[in-house]
Amino acid sequence: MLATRRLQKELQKMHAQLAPGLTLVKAEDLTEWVLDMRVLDDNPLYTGKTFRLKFMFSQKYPIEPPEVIFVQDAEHTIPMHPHIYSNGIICLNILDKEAWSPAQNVESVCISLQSMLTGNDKNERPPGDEEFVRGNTRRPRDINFYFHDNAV
Amino acid sequence: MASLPQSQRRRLAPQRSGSDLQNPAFPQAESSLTRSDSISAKSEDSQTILISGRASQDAATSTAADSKQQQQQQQQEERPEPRRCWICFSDEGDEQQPVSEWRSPCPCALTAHETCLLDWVANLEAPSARRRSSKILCPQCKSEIILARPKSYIVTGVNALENLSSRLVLPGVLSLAVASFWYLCWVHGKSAIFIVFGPRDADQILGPLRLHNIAEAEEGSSLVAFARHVRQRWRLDLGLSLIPPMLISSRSSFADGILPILPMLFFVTKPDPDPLVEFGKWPPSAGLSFALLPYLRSIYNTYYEQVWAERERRWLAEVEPRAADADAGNGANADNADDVLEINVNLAVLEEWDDGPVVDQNIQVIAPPAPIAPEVPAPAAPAPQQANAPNQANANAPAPPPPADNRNFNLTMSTTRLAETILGALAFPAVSAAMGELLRLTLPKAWTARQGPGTKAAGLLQARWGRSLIGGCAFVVMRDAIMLYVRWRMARDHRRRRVLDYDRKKKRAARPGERA
Repeated sequence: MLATRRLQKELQKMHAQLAPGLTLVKAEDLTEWVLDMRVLDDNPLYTGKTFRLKFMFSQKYPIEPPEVIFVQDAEHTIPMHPHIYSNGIICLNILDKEAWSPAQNVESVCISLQSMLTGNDKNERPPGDEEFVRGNTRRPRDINFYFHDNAV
Repeated sequence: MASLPQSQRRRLAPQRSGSDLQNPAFPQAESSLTRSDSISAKSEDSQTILISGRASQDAATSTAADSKQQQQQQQQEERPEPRRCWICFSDEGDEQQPVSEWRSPCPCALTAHETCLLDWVANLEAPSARRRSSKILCPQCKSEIILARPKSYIVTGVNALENLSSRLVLPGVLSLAVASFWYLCWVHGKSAIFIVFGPRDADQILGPLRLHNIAEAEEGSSLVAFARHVRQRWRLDLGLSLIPPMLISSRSSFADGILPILPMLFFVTKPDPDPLVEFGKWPPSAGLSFALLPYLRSIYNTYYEQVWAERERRWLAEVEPRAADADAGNGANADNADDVLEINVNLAVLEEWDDGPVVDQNIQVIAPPAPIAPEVPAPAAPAPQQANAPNQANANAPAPPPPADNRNFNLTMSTTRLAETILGALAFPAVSAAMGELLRLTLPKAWTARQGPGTKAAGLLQARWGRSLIGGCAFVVMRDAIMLYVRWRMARDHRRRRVLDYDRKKKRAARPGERA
């Protein structure tokens, strides 16, 4: 009920106006949305590329954070970033239960991700990426990330 | 609005009259958005709030609000723009049915439905949530949101207890394990005393364990009884529990530094004269005799090391096949039994190195190239991997390396040696007692029997503990002597081996000395 109302509101607003660099690709229901994202500045790592984000909402949204991952397909790649695993899982504190607050929304998460990419100059994956990607069968929300690096 | 207190409306008013044209309702939200753009998305204060869609609408209403401002300040009945819940994003007035009361719990502009706030708070306070602080903070201005709730000391207390008990699980399990181990040692120590000293002396030594005054213990305060119990027995309890560790450590050299000091502590801390500890008499008392054992052990070990150890190594090395020397690459040093052991250990380590990549290869063969690969055993759990490695290798990989079995053999060898040492150490009291019994049966009656019932023992062998002591020492010396003889004999016989020629006439191998 809360999730439905809130997502309808957000959708309404995003249809009307969306922050620069963001495009709503698919929002057929209120459980899974797809957005495309460009980085606005000329960071050589990401210029000219469009990245695809998938949002998955639980019934408890916005009390609980949405699950957000980057999607890889024919046209889209997973951005290189020391906090983004090569399977698209993102290690960002506001997407974790502890730092999430209902004041966040889909658009603000996208903008946070945009600035996370903008501020990055390392062309690398997180340490242990290969192992994590091979071994991980959990959903993003069940992973307990340890946020050690608040500077990136 | 009747629901909004006077003071809060006043606080909101100046923000509105400032008439930030872009987003009058959430000036702080706007500023935090620009900040997070420029700085970082990961920093604590980057929680952005975006409600810009309403900008034009808000601007319109706020100009209207400006013109009406004086009216409002007089009337104080109407708000200039509808409130918006920061949790469900519903605007005031567009709910089909009124959801709940509006609340504005902190100094900043965020307002919300009470039900939404309570949902959020419930999620934060849920026992499953892993939160560090117990305070509820506004996500925007970080000021504390205070809830009025019925307070029950019992509920608070029980919650605190639950918290505490969940935190004590690991220490509890550990201390249980330690206590169990301690008690096992205690039981072993007690039975060792019984075996070595025999019932009469053991009864005297273990005297403090007996419950002296049952009636007192029954009726008096149990706390006092416990304190007395601890005061009377702690020395004995400690001593009994230390017996097995001492036995085991005396089998190796790692405790050589402290073993000779322990008896000193024993004498220094002894509070009262004990019939079992008497100096300057023959036969020496039991306490003194046992306290001298560590020194005896050191002397004996030094003697053995000086006189026999080198020969034993040589004899051992002689029976090693010469090929092994060549393989090991240090034929000159190979006359050293310890070296052989070390080579085994090194091989084990090397094989482990060899094994690691093999396991990885297998996993790569098995795992299909999917975006999310199936669960792979973590590298931190080597045991199951080792067990699986040969199977997987047979199934998938070409030519698995054979030494895996060999290494396991070595590992089991070393654990067997360890277990042998420990078991031998723990069984030593029983062996000593058995040897003492053997002494009693074999030696003349005059040496081992007391002159009459109740008289004091006139010699070491007349007390059971004395026979156990002598028997134990004799056992060690005899064992070493036999082992040395066997080593020497094996080495000597090794030199005299001959391969027999086959005697074709007699159709059997020729006897030594016979000529074919």
